[in-house]
Amino acid sequence: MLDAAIEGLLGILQWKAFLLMMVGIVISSTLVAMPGIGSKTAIALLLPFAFALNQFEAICLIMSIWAVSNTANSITSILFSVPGGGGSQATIMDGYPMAQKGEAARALAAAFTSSAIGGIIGALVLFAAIPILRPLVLLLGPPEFFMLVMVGVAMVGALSGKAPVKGIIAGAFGLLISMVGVHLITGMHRFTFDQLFLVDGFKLIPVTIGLFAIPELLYMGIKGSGISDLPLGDLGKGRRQGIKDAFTHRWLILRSSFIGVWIGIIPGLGSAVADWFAYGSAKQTCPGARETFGKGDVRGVIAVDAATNAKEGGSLIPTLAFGIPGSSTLALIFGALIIVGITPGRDMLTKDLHLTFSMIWLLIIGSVITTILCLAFTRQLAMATKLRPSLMIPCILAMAVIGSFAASSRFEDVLMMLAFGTVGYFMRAAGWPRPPLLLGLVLGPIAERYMWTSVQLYGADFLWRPGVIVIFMILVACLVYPMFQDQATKLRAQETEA
Amino acid sequence: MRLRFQPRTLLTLLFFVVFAYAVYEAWDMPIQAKLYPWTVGIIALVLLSYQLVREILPSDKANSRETGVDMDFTEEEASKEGRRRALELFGWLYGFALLLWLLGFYISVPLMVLGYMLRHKESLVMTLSLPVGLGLTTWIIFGHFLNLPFPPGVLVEMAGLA
Repeated sequence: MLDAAIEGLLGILQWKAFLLMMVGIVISSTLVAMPGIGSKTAIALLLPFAFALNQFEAICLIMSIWAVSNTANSITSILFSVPGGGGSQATIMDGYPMAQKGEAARALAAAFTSSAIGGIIGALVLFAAIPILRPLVLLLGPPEFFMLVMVGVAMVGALSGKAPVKGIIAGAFGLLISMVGVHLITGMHRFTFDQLFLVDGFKLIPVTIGLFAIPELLYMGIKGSGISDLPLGDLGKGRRQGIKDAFTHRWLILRSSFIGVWIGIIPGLGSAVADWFAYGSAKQTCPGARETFGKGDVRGVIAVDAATNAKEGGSLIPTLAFGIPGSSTLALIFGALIIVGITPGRDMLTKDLHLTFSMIWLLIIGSVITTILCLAFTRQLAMATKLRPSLMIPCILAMAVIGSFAASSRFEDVLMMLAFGTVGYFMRAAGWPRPPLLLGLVLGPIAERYMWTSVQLYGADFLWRPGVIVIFMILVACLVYPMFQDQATKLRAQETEA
Repeated sequence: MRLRFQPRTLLTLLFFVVFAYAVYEAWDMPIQAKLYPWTVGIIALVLLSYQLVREILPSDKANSRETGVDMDFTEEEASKEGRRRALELFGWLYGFALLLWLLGFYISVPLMVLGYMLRHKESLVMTLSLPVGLGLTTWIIFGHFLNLPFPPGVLVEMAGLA
């Protein structure tokens, strides 16, 4: 295991991989921090480039965008009361009042520092989980893995907001479009309508760009205005105080980080839950917090940012060990890993263990570098929120089109991207979650392979294997438990706002 | 009892038709090929039937807006002005695809960016520099370094310039 840890570290410290990690961090700290451009959009746009990279380089580029996005998301939350992403909503509660009081730099520095420490704690928990998970994964056979894939699709679907049925149907739609093309067992053309370009099936990159980048681009164009018109103010003062605050409240960071990790382990519960949970917990446990929280208490910022970044380490546990993406963004990363020949699941804890360690190292190194960069360039990062949509839309559109074409050098892929962009826009308009569709497309061929192997080995009796029944029960429990958690979080948020 | 038909039900119906077609199409396939589409398709059809009933039958609970968590559709987008802008943007998207087919990537990318800049009355510096910058990026990075075989465009080919 130590060899794998060292190999993983050396892999991401190669100059090209490290450079790509820095590119990912810069993209994450600028573009992703802007409201409306989430890490999903950025990852979708960068997926085509993963083809040309080796496994370590692809991990560095794609995962660094995701791993550090929570840190930068706090910038707009604190400065403009506009959450940069789902996990930075609760940061507004105390971050924005601090900015109004002229303590923006202190709030930002406290947020960045606690975010870095939270990220490191999340990575260490993931590190500690590996020896426990390895023997567990080796016990599972094709029927159990088939069930786990189904659990992944159903859970990301069912936990996609207030529309669980729609989420599961969207996941099934993803599974359906993954069937298009040559059937691997019989060699027959399935659902190809005699179209040559469909023989290879729907390509992941055009579908991803279409589903995520195009609807966001349309949203930006429809909104028609810049992200914020508020003045940036003086950000130079208070940075040192913010860093000091984070270390003073180290036990709060530790507590909030463990809350974040716990929420991350449960697939489907995102940063939006982790931040309110940590905020509510801090309000209940910190001395005098009931009076000061919501009025600009730095502890409110510290608790939230530590939890949201620690969550990422936790969410990698089900993703890497069982192939169940812990969040919708991880479903995209799942696709990126498959593009470069990495299959999340059993292999990540056996023959590809060094890659798992490279991700852990990336979480640690990425968190620290991002914090240093964010502290150094706070003003410049905040300036990015002033970019006009009229400048961003044509650039993103051009990148989307070239990226779709680059996947397999076919013009039909550009049309496919536009078609899925239209579908994605109308799905959003009608309240259909899009991540399960993508997850279904990614997991579809794996699920079919496991299903057919299980049927050949055990017939229909594979459904009655103890492991399959246990996983099914876990699925039911996981679907029911977050509903209670969600209600509890809403109540806490309402109490906090009141 | 009065049934309620909303525009968003169209998408649910579309999904229903697609899954029904997939189940029907798989009928004549060998068991190895049809087992999986049938499993997924039949489960989806049952869920879609439930969803359709919820959307069409009047009930207070079904009336409340259900949304996915990844991004909510805002009131701004649903407004008349929002719809007009959305239509215009779809025009840009599909117009750009048409332009790519007719003129190829090297001409269409800077042309689209230039058109967008002019439409939104950007400053002269941006109107000139952004199309040139993106055009050069397409040509140098994607065309030369990454060797992407961009199709030349139908009109360019007809004119013998490819």
